[in-house]
Amino acid sequence: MFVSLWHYLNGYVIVEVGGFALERFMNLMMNRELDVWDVCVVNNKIQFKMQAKDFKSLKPIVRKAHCRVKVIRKYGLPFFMYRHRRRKFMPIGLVVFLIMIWSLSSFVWLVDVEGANRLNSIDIVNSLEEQGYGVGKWKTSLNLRQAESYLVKAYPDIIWTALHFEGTRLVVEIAETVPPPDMMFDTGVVTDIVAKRDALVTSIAVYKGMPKVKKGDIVKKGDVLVAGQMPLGAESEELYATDSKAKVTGKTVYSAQGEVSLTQVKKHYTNEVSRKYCLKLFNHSFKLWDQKIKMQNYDTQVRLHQLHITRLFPLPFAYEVDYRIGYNKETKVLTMEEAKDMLLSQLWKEVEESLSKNANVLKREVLFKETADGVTGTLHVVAEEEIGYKVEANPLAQPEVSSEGENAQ
Amino acid sequence: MKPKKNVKVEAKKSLKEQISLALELPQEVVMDIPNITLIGNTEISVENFAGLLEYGQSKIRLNTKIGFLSIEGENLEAKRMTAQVITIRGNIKQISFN
Repeated sequence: MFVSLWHYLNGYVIVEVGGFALERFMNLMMNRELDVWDVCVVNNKIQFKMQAKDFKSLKPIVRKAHCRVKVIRKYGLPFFMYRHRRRKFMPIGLVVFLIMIWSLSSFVWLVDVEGANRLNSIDIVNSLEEQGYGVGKWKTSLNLRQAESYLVKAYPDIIWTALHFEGTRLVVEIAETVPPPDMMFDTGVVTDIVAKRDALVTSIAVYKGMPKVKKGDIVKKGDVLVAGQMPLGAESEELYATDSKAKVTGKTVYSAQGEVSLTQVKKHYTNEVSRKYCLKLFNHSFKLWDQKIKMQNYDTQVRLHQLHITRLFPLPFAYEVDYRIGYNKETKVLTMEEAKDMLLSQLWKEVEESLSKNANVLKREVLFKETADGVTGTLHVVAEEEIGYKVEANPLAQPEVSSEGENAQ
Repeated sequence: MKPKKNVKVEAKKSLKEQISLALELPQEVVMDIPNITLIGNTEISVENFAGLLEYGQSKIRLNTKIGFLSIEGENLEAKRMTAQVITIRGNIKQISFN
């Protein structure tokens, strides 16, 4: 491949040699160390390729071997240039093209964030854009080291970052901090533990602080479960403020209500799709082609494709395709059983969202009521879960402690 | 008496050949004989040849130190031709020395 490129750049000719002593001609040629390739025989004549500059040195050989030489074709850049020597605008166009390629590739056309797990990469891209490190910026005008220090300062969760260009892409590599574990030692903040729901306390284990409730108590939402105070010692009644820590579990009740109609409208998607193509340049979008919409009902699905020259050179253009998928409305009459099932799953989903993650469901009770055109229902769920959460307390509110403690019991 | 016969055959070898065998030198360099490389039946390259005797589409004959090398086949074509090496491509049927 490189050899043929070299030949093209230097220019080569296809030569036809006719005559009687062709072998002698070839031997003479080889003795003079002429570079010759693709030698073939056509109608008792030989044709071969040789470098254009070697052609003159064939003359003495031709005379010796009594052959006739003819140039059939000329190939290569020098001949091409000679043929098009009058076309003034072609080199200008070539230069303009190269300048355009060079200048367009010296902009940033895409910002990519790598290594963001906890942090939102879109958020990082937006905040970089606000600082002037965004799409459409001249690459050499950006001081990446400054951007790095900005990122580290702006996001305490970024411990290390490196920005670099890959083609027209600005790659932001980040390393996030490891979240610190829950500390057991005193942070100096005074906190109480407060109930997050009405509950029946099933267990309480206090590591630090003054328990205000005991097992079997009924607490209301917002009640203090563990106060952030501790007596100094067994003899002294005096209290000091502290960061309370405890695990309090309780039985809580969740309920949800809802109704389901017996007649349900279902979407039945058809294969009819009408598309709309748009070309997007930054925030502008140009409609390229819009198919007529024949369907009555349809949902729209939007897909965005960024245009690239290889993965390294994303272009500032994207094309957007809107797929409008038609559907037929279909009404379906449910049986009472199906409606109840549907309602139950809806209600359960609702309750599940508000349940804490490691809640233990003890009881599930559902009451249905059949109406004229559907069913209504209430779901009660009894769960055991952790009910306490920390609230910063006022360290001065100490005197009330003893009286409150009595109330709770 | 087979061993003795073998000894006699070895003695017939030229001095140059014996040296190149003893010192494990490449024979084509020491003795100026052709180095022929064949790739399947489509390409043959001959290094160290003395000249062309006949050149045609179906037969190419080369002069070498050890005799005439004739290559027969179909659509033979010299891909490269310099004073040192000739590379011939085509459908090679037969290679013979005479």
